Amino acid sequence: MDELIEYKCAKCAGTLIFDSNLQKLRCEYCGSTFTAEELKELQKELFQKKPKDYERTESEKRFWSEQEAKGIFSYVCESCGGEIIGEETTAATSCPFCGNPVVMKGNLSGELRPQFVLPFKLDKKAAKAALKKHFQGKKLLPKVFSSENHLDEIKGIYVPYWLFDVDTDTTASFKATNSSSWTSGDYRYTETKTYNVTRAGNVDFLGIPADGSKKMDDTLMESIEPFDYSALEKFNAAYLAGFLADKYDVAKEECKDRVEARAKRSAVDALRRTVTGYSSVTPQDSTVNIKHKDPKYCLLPVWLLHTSWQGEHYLFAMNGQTGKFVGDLPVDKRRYWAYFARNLLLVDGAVAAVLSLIMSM
Amino acid sequence: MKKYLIVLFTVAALFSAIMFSASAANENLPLIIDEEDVLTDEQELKLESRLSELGEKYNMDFVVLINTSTGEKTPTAFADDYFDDNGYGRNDTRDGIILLLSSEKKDITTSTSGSAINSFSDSELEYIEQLLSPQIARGEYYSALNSFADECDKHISDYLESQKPKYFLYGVIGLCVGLLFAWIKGSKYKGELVSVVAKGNADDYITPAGLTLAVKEDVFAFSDVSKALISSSSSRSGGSSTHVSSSGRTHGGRSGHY
Repeated sequence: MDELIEYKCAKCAGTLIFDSNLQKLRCEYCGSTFTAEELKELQKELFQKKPKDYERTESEKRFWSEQEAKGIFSYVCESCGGEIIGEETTAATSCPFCGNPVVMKGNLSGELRPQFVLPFKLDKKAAKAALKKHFQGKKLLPKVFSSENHLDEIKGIYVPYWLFDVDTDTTASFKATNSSSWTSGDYRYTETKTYNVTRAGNVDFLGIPADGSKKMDDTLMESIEPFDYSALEKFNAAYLAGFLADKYDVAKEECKDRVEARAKRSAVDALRRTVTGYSSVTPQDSTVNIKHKDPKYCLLPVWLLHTSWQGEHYLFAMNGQTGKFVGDLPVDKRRYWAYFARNLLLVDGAVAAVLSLIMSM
Repeated sequence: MKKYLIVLFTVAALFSAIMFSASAANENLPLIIDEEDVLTDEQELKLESRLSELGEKYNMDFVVLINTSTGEKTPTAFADDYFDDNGYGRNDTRDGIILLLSSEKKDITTSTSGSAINSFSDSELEYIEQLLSPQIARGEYYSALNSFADECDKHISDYLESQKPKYFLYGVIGLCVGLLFAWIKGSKYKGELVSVVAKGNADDYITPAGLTLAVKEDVFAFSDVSKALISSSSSRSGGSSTHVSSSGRTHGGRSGHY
C-alpha cells in the first residue's frame, strides 16, 4: 500500500518536472518554475493529506497477487486514473497514460529516505548527443552500427548509492633494490643492494560509492564514476519529478567488501608511491585496518540508454552530473582483419626494405 | 657492310683489351716469391697455380713473399710497400693480400689492400697467423701455404656470402615485427570499444589531506656483486683495423712471429 506524490503547478495545476538545466521544477504547461525549497511549502499540504489507501481493482485482485509476490506492484495515477505498474523498488516513475511524473512516498520515507540527492545536471538531449559522440572515432565499430542502431529506451534514473567514509591504518613492506655497475679488465661488475622498506600511515577516503541496486550492474556503475559530491543536496523528493528512481535493495553491509577492497588497494598504492629512489620495488606484505563510518544513503543521477542492433541489446550509461559516458560496442571482425592485414603488410614491407638498405650499405 | 663489321670488330677488340688489362693488369707478376728457396719448383708451380685460380675466382691478388729480412723496415711496412711498389692488387682499388714470411726474426705478416681489407677482419688474420705459425716453425712451408690458400678461399667465400642480401630472412623478420605491430594496433582499436571497466581502487575518494605517513624505514639488507665477461679473446668476429703505407695507400693486416 503506497502513497503517490505528484507535483502540481501552484498556478495552473499542471504537472511539474525537474529541469536539469534550470535546476528547478518547471511546469510543462505554463512554464512556471519553482525551487525545491519553494515547493516544500506547497508539499506541506500534500503531505498533510491523510494517505489514501491503495485499493486494488477487481482485475488486480484476480491477477496481481501472484505477481506482487514477485515484486511487481501497481498504483493508480491521481491525475488520470490510469494504472501505473512498478517494481517493489520503484521510488519514482511516470504514468504511462498521461506522462504524469509520480513519486512513491512509501519507498522514500523512514529508513528508505535518502539523506542526499545529486540532482541531474544533464538532460536527455545531452545523453543522446553523448551516445552519438560515443560512436565517433572508433575504427572497429561496424559502419552501419550508428545508422542502423535503434535507441529503444532512454531513461534518467536516480540510482540508490551508499557512500562510505573510510579511514585506513595501513602498514606495508617492500623489497627495494638499487644497482650500480663498473668495468674492470675484461669484466663488467654489477652490485645490487637490497633494502627492506617499511611504510605505515593513514589514508582516509570520503564517499567511496557502492550502488545499492541489484538491477544495476556494479561494473557499469563503477565505470561512470566519479561524481562530484560538492553538488549534493539534502534529499527532497521534488528533485525526482520527471525521472525514475529506485530504493535500495542491497543493504549497506552487503557493499562493505567491495568498498574495503578498493580502499585497501588505494591505501597500499599510496604507501608504495612514497618508496622512491630505487630501481625496483616489490611489494612484500601489507596490513590494512579499516574503520567505517555509517554510510550515507544517496540518490545519484544516471542516464541509461538501451539500444539494439542485429538482435543484440546494448546498454549504455552516462553520469547525469559529469557526462561521463560508457558502454561496450560491437567489433566489426571484417574490419579488424582488414586493418590487421594492412598493418602486417605495411610493416613487413617497411622492415624488409630497411633491413635490405642497411645491409647493402 | 664490311666497314661496319671492321669497326665493330675493332671496338670489341679494344673493349676486351681494356677489360682484360683492368682486371688482370698484374698477370705477369709472380704470386710466389721464394727468396729463401724453401719450396721445390714443383711446389712453387702448384701454389702459383692455386693462388692464380683464387685470384681469378675473387678478382684479387693473393701473394706470398718468403725472404730473409725486412731490413730497417717493420714487417708490416715492408709487406705494404712490396705490395704497392710492385703493382700488386686488382681493379682500381688494388684488391689483394700478401703474406710475408721473414726467417731472420721469424716474422709472419699479412697486409691487405682494397676490398680484401673488409674481406679479412683482424681476428680472421690472427686466426690464419695462429694456424700457419706452427707449420712454418716446423719448416712445413708447402703445407702452411696450402692452408693459407684454403683459409683465404674460405674466408672470402664466407664474407661474400654474408654480404649477399638475405631477402627471405628480412621478409621473415618483417613478418614477425608486422604480426606484433598488427596485433598491438588491433588490440588498441578493440580497446576503444570497451569502456565498461571495474574500478579496482578508490583513488578518486582520498581526502585532500591524502596520506599521513607515520613510519618511513629503509633498512639495508644485503649486497650482491656479479661479474660478466665483456669480450672473448677467442672471438673471430669484428672489424678490420687499417693503417697507411709509405705510398699513402690504406692497408689492413697484422704482424706476429712463428
